[in-house]
Amino acid sequence: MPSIIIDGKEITADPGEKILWAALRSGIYIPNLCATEGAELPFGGCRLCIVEVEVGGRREMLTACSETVRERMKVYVHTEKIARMRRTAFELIMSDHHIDCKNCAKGKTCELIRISSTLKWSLRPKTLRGLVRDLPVDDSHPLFAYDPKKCVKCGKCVFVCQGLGKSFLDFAYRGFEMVVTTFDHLPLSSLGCKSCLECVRVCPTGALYLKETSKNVIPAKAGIQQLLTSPDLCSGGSLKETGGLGDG
Amino acid sequence: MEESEQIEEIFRRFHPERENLLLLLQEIQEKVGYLSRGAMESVAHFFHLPPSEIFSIVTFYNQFRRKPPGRDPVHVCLGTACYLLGGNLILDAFSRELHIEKGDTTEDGNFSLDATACFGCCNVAPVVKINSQIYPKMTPGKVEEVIINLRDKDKN
Repeated sequence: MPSIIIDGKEITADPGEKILWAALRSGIYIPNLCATEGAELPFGGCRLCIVEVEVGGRREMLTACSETVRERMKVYVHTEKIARMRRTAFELIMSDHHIDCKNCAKGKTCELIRISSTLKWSLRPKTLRGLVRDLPVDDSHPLFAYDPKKCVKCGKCVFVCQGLGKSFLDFAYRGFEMVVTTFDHLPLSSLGCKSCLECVRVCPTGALYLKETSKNVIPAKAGIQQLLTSPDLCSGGSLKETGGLGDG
Repeated sequence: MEESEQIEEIFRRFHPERENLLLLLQEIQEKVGYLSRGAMESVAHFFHLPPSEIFSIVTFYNQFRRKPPGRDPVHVCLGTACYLLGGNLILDAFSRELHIEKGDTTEDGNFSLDATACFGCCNVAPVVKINSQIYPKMTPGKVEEVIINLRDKDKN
């Protein structure tokens, strides 16, 4: 078991593990939005988990979600430089995020709120102008809806849908215009989605959310877990029930 | 030849391997003029890839268009020299005059508007290319005249 040193504190990690997961397991918080444990190719898009790693006497800025641990590796997660860079990354994410917490389906479970309250940052960017794009909400699906204005482009839904062999969602366009969307912006209901709702489960923000109507079908507290294991709620049955994927 | 026949003909010349994907998309665009929803679907089918991935690739590259080009396709150069000399203003002027955005085609099918990179005549920047003609040293003021002349030519 390799041991690494985070801010002077020695912790143990699993061989081949990424810094982020080793740190989180040891109770050291590193903010992250796009990281998925066990991902073959970490996305590294949110830039929030950036850390400094000592390499040959110099410190390098790396993303903790993509850097594999090495024996006696020296990692710094709380330096002034990192705080500044993370703050900028967070402001960039928030600058095109539609901030509407009062009416947001995600409520207090939002990862953005968690990050901002843990690190004592305001949700609203201070140094950047807000540039929320005018993108339509897709509420065609009976159980869930997608609001691209709240999407932080972490790609979690894209990768989870891909992992399940469906790939209904993908990135489209480039740069600031980039969105997560369906093929040719077709409505979600037209794709043959089996409502496994994994995309809703992994979404860190309120971009993919359960509709009010689907919440009424199930007891309020049960949430997504109940939906995932209840066979009668959607025509195709959930993934766990059917044990795999049927034809679109 | 029908669009689907043209595409089928192109499929026959390629192996459905990922490395051929961009080449094939370029070939379809060259033969058909654009990549329709149907074309993207059949490409996805041919390569056994999810359609969303084809859409992702097609929208990533500026080169691909998803609407049929107009009879007079307007290409505004946004290469370095043209960009520095206000290529964006020329693009905006065309967009205003034709009432379409970049990548779109007018309803009558006469004009389409695109931004492209260098045509290799940076000494007369900013330039616009319509069909095979280069319009040198463009200004937003000249845009209306260019459009009127092309409309008159099309009428005759």
